[in-house]
Amino acid sequence: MSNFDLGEIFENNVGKPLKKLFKYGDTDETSDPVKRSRVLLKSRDKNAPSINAPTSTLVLAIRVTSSNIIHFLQKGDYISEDLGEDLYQCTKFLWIGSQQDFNEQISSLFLPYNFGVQSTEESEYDVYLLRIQLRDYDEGFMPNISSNRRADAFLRLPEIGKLADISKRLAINSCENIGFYQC
Amino acid sequence: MKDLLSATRELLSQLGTEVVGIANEYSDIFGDPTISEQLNRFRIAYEEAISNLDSPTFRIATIGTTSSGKSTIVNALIGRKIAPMEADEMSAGILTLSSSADRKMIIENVEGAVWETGEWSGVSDEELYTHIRDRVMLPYHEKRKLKELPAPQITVLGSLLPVEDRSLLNLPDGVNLEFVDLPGLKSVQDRTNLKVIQKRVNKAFSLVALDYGQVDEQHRKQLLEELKKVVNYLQGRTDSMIFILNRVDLRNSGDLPLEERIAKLQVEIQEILSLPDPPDIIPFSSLLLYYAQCAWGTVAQTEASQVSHDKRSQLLKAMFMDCSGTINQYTQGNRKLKNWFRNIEDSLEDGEPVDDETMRQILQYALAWSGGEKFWYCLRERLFDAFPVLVIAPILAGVLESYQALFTSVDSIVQTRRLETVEEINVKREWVSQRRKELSIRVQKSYSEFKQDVERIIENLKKSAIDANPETRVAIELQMKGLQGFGGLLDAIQEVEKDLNLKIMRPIKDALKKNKPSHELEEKLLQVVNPSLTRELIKAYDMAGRRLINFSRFDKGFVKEVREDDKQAIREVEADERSVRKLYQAVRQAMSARAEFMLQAQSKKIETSVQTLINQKIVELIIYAQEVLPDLNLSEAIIADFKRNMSDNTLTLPSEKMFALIDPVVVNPITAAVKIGEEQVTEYRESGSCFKTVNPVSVTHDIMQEVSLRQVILPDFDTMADQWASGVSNAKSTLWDSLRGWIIKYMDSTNIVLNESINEMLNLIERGLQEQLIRLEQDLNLEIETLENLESRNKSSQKIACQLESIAIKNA
Repeated sequence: MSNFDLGEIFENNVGKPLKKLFKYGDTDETSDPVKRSRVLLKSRDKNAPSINAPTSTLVLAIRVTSSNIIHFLQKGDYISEDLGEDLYQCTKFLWIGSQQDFNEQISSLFLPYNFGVQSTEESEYDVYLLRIQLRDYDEGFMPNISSNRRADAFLRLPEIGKLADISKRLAINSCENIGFYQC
Repeated sequence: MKDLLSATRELLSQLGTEVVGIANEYSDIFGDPTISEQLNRFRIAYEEAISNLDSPTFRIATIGTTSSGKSTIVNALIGRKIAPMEADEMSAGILTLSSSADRKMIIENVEGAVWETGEWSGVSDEELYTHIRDRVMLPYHEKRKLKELPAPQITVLGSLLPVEDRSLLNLPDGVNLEFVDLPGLKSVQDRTNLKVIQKRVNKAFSLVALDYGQVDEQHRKQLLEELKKVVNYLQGRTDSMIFILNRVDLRNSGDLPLEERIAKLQVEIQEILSLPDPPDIIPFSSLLLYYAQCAWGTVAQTEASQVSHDKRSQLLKAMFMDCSGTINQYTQGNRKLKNWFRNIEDSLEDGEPVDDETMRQILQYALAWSGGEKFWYCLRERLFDAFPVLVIAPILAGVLESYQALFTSVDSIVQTRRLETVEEINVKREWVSQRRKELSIRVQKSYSEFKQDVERIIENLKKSAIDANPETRVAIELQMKGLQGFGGLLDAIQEVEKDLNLKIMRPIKDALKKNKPSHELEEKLLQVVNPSLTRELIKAYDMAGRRLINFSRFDKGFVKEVREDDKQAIREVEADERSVRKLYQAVRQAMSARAEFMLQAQSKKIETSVQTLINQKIVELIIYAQEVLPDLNLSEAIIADFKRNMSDNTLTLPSEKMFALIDPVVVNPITAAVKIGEEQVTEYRESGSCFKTVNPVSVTHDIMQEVSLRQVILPDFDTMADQWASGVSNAKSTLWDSLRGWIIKYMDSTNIVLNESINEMLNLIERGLQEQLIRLEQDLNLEIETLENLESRNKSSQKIACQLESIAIKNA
């Protein structure tokens, strides 16, 4: 580990491209994604839910076959009002919870080097995860909601959500039994 | 291409001669019923291939995004004005332009055609153009507003520029060319038309037209998304595709430099279509080339033009009028050239004809400035690579499969003839009988396992009501089992559901909530639903919107209460109910049509998905067959026979009618006290504070009566959309059932074909062994030398087949 700077690698590969994507506020430069998200939350506007708000963090899983959208997001191009529609169409399953729950249950999937969960043998079932910080509570992202309300919530996403992180390519089984539900 | 074609013809002819020679010389072997049947199949496939190689056709399909000028491009490339250019809806049919010495137009009599159909000969281009536009496309466009219709299919035979001037594409003599001008995706909203178009596109080299006016920052994302849909839905072959960025003459000085714009677009197209390399994008000004090329005609520039002076003058005048910007741009700084063009324009105004030599020069400039020159160069290069894949490989596929099946069977029989003792034969007979049983058990077991897997996977997928994430669980299971291929199927179904949500339910809900004018909704729906269904939906939307105004808001709905004995009010409320039911019915019809279209659009993905899944099982069985049948060339014979038989057993998606929506109307019979009149009564009331007196007072009282009321509750707009969404969600389960039935049916037929091939080949071997036994008993055995001669001839024919195969798959 001492031979290379994890923080620098993360920042160059994930952090910098993401900086372009934030719709409001500036990103934090911290290399640890968990710490970074905490600092980031502090700097967000006053309407932001507290760190323990039950629905402050949204995680979307996008199958690798729709990786075009990931490339668009990484480049920072094409962020527009219809990003929500694109994300709705590509999301296979999702998770919503407090920042604390996220840190406990999900955040390890976003670590730049976590060989236990990243896809070693590429499969069509692999996914990318997107972490989105929500400014407002939106019941449309909750489980067991009609697809009509779910679509509405995604279309509101450019207004209420801020893209915070993109995971590496993950094996599908790394997302098992941690509370994801179908989109 | 010419050499390749000659080499293919020569090799195929050699293969035919070899096979006929072997069959005649070894008639006892070829007398076996299986081998005789295989020889017959080979003969039929061989004759068909010879005939197709004699006059092969290279097909070029033009597809493109909205208003990209596909028809103008086609006319410019063929040198004739045939494809209607006025508006997108005038190109809503399938127009095939085929090279021929005859001038003919054939309009197919498709079911429900409301336009003239039949054959016309010797018609001028002007008449053809007017006929196609006014008597086919226009009636089609008008009638499809009222009912769903199949698109017109028109074939125009005659001269085409790249065939008359073969140097443009280096097209060898005898190779025909066909341009297929296809409608834009906006004009194709139903499954039947999409299916017809997909069949035409996936056999052709595609020219994909894009409109330069849409590549700015504001529109580019939308353009790329439309492009992705055009290519994917129409099933264009991404390995054989050139992009034409049309109308670059619209550029203005503030735009990004063209090279920079194209480089950016290349990266984006490569990414969005997942291409291995950056695509060829040709900047193009189709209008300039169209005028100049049509003013010259279809012949090579080395010959005399056949275009009349009048027609030429007319086209050139139009060129000076419409393309003056481009001409000015390219003649800037070259006074001599500018004057030369001005002089021609003046001569035209004076009514003087433009001679062939001047016309040649104009055409040269137009080719250079419009991007035509670059286009022909690029297509010429690409054609060289695409020709084996798109033309030769499909012609050779059938004959090579038949040959392989025949060759391996003959080889198996030859091996039985090498057995020299009765004991050896008996041992082999016993061995074959034993293996027949083992193989049959194994195939059956593998098939049952597969069937169980499919059953369980689909049952799990249907559990969305009790499992929050059934697809993930299924994907994990599939991955654990090493089964790739199901992902496409999982995605396809979810994609259909989401598309219906975004493209149909949401716009209607929004329009209802915001009380939008119907034309706004109509515009949105016409993008995805055919005009006749959109018309029905808009009528229902208008009616329901008007009726709901008379309802009161109530929790999650609208409510209205009327007296059962008020006949007029009951009639009104029944009309209200009908209007909402009608809206639901129209939504259901639109969603069904769109879902069918979307499933067809994704048919390739779904079919590939299922095929991949089934192929994994087949490969398993083939490996097993190779293990248990190492002798007598048996496994090779079974595989070759199976492959040939499977080529007739293609997988196609079934048609489905779906979606049932719940009745939105809730009617409650209630009773309530209602005022039926008033009455005057006298009441006695105290008045005064110290000295109270009681005085009679006359008061009016309501007369109340218990009456029966009809309470009608209708859902509010959000609840309506929820109910439609729930209809789609429920239909998913039916759809999964139907897909399960379809997969299993296909697997059943695969299983039958495989068993037939196994039995056919084992029977062949048993007959061969029996024959050899008789030969030994009668001392008629073929000499080793004869067998070796047969084997050597078989090998030499195999060598020819391998050479042919390498031509066919060289660039595939």
